[in-house]
Amino acid sequence: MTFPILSVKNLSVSFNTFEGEAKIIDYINLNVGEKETVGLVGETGCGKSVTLKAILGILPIPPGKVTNGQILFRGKNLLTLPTKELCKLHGREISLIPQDPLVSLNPVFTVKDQFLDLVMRQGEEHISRINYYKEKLNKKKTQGALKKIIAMLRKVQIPDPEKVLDYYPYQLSGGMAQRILIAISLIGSPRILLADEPTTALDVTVQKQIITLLKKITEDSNLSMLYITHNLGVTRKIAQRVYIMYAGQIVEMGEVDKIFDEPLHPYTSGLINSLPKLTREKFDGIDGTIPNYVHTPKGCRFYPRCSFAKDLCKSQKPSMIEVKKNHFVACRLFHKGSK
Amino acid sequence: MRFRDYLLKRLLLFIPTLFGVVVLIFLLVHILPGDPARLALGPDAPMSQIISLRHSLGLDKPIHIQFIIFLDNFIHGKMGLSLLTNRDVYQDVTQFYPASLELAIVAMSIAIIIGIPLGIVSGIKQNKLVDHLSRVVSLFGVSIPRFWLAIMLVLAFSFYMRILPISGRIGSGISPPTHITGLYLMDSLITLNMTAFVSSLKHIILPAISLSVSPLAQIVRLLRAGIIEHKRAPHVMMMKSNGMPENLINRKYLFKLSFIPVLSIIGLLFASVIAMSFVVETVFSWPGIGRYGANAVLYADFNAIVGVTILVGITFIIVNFIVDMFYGYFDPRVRYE
Amino acid sequence: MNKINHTTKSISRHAHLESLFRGIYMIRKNVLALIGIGLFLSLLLMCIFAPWLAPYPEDAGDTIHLSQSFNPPSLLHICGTDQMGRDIFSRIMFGGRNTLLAGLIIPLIGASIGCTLGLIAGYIGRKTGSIIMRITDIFLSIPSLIIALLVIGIFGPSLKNIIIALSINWWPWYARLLHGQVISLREETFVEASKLLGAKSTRIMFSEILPNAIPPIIVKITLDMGYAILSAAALGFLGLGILPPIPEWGLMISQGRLYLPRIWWITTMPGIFIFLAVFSINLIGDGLRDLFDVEVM
Repeated sequence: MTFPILSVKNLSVSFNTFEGEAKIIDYINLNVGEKETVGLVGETGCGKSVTLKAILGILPIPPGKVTNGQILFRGKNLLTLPTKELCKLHGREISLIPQDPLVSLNPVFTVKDQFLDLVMRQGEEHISRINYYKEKLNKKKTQGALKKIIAMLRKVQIPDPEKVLDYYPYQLSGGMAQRILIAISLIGSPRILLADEPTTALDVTVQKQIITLLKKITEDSNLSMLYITHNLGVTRKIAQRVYIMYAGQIVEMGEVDKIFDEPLHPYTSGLINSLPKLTREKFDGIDGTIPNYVHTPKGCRFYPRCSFAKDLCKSQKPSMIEVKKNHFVACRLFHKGSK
Repeated sequence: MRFRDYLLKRLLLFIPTLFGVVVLIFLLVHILPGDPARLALGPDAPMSQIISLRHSLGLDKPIHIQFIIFLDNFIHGKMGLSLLTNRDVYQDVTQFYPASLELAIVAMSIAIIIGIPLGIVSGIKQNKLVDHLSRVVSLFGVSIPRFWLAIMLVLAFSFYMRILPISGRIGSGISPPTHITGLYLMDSLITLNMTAFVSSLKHIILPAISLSVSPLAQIVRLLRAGIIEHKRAPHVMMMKSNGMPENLINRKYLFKLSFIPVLSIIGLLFASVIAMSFVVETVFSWPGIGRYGANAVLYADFNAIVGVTILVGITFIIVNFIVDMFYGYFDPRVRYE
Repeated sequence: MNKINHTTKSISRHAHLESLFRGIYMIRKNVLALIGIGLFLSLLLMCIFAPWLAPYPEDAGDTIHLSQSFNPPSLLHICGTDQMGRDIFSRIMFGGRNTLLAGLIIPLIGASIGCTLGLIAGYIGRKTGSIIMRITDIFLSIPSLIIALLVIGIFGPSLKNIIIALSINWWPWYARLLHGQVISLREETFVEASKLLGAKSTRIMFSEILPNAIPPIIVKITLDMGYAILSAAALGFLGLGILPPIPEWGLMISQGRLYLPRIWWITTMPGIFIFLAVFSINLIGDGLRDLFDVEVM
């Protein structure tokens, strides 16, 4: 793997609740290389969205705080970057494809309004009123931006871009809205896309279209993508490597096919067994629920649900070991190179 | 639905609503038991006087005939004689109305012009000092009796500090500006009559402030609540993550969304301004509908009461209509009926 | 099995701690509401027990001590004396009974009428419902004090009439609120379940839907009490409420106007109490709103 474009090192994030400090993310590490699509898989509540928000710098800071770690984007630590520099990155280097497209667009403005404003003022930290109106009157600049927008809308396979621009979000279908959001995320020519479960809120048929579209776009433009999902099956279609996350900890990482063929961590096996299969076999779930983040177990967080648990697992957190080439796991069942 | 169609639809509803309110007021006044004539003349008045007053007020005719007479007179600009001023109520009302309108407009303007920025800042900088201060101020504003505040302001500024006048609409030595709209501030600006302008301004400022305090507080609270509710919305997150400057998000996108519930109560706020103007005008001897109406009620001046009620009802409907227009413009979802 | 027992034990221990933390958290969050409750209760008790607590109870009536008139606030008379030499503080305590009574009753009456109508309109729907809501809309299109002035203009000034007049003004809001609530709750599954079990309409209306619609109503009643006090005082100020010599806060303010600016306490003092009453009610209302997490006008 080439030098990673995005590198999360030992990140820990906590939230202050009235019960105490909820240590949601516990020293996670992940990397995304250039031109690579990496999946981050985990069930609801495991902290995937929090990770994403931390990378983007949109964590709600009063209840939330980053207690440890670095987030390096092309070498620069996003957590310590001054706001002005951070703003330059958003949209132009790092962008977001949100989860539920119909609530991710402001309902009282047209698509054109939102898209145009974004394109013309992307990356600036602060725009003064005078400049805003001056730019609005600049017909040439506006027309140029609109052309760019329409071209991008065609690229995401929207049939009638000019018409769609005048729509309000409530007039759009889920699939159409998501395509628009993908267009928005691509327009600044970013290097990495952060996709937050982009197909969860869509119908199954539309899901397939969007995934195919994303795959095509990332391959054509040599973009990296961090694809977050709770559906392990999806990663097989779109990612090269995958991280499995449980309760704020990374438990396994490896190439996607290897993970499916030989899952190592008990949780991963549980996940794969939970996938409904076409052969009408009964499928299992995994007993138990995610732990309480305020009173987390000291050791492995999967301990209460693990059928292979040993006493040592309860008190000591296992570290990530490379069991096979490019296949890492954090579990006491394994030693380097073997089981 | 395009905005034009929405406008047209609302306009069509407007006329029957107007009519409906006039009918309603008329019915209310005539169906409620109680004898206006006896009330006006007092409990000791002899029966013959009461009967003759009832006759001259037309109260002894059947109700639908009374209504037709009433409408007929209304269209011709006659609303019956006022017992207090001995003029036709129509004349009284047209004389006093502009003063109240001006006061209401200035009061609402103060509430909106100060309330909106304060509400936005308070919402964005939640729980910082600015927010706490504005919340306390809003709470005070909503809890203070406006007529009492008016008196306190007069005490402070007119009596003790002597910088502002006690009552009236314009200085006693100064003649009012030429009548174009009836609104002194506007007329004096149009005719470039600076002495009249300054004097009118000095006279209107205390009553306007007294009336504006409560609407201002409510605007701030509602706007703040809206911004706090929406500032964690997915679309705001999306914009931030994709590079939109934060102050643009706040000022344009968050604002419009949060302002919509405020719009829906502006009609109500205006109503409360009208309602409270009855007392505030009394305090300042402001020559408006409020003071006129308050006196009318006090002395049971039947025709005047009806006249004032109808005028206020009509004003209210017109204001609501205008607000509905703005609402349809701001919130496209509403047009999608 | 062992694991489950183990978790249950630690859960119950945590549960105790958790409720302690939650309790402290709720109190910290709602300090203001508690202050409001304290303040309001003090005022209320002060007025209810006026005959026993007031320093000069006889001053609430017709008494005249001209020699003591116009005394500024002092240790003997906390709020001073008025033009007849009566102790203003005692009059405030007695006057509060009228003003606060009006403020408390009006929203309750308005709510009873309005809620019943709104409930029926929402649940039964169709023609009856439509008609009821149309009437409500028409009433809503006339500003509040106007109706009040009309009613008083015709019936004459008195406390009872103020209450009637303002209640008439208030009920449409509750009708509309409840109507909206019923419409959205009507489709909920628990209502369907009740219907399937054969419950009568009235039973469904009152024991299923109403309890779920209550939180916004409670918040609204509380906040409306503040507005009702202000409105009642305003009408009293105009002389449209209680007639002298019975004290009423708005009336006292208006009577004191004649003697301004030198004799400032007759007008100022009652106003301060109006403010304190409404302020404390608003604190309570805000706290309730946060507690129930509702959006109510």
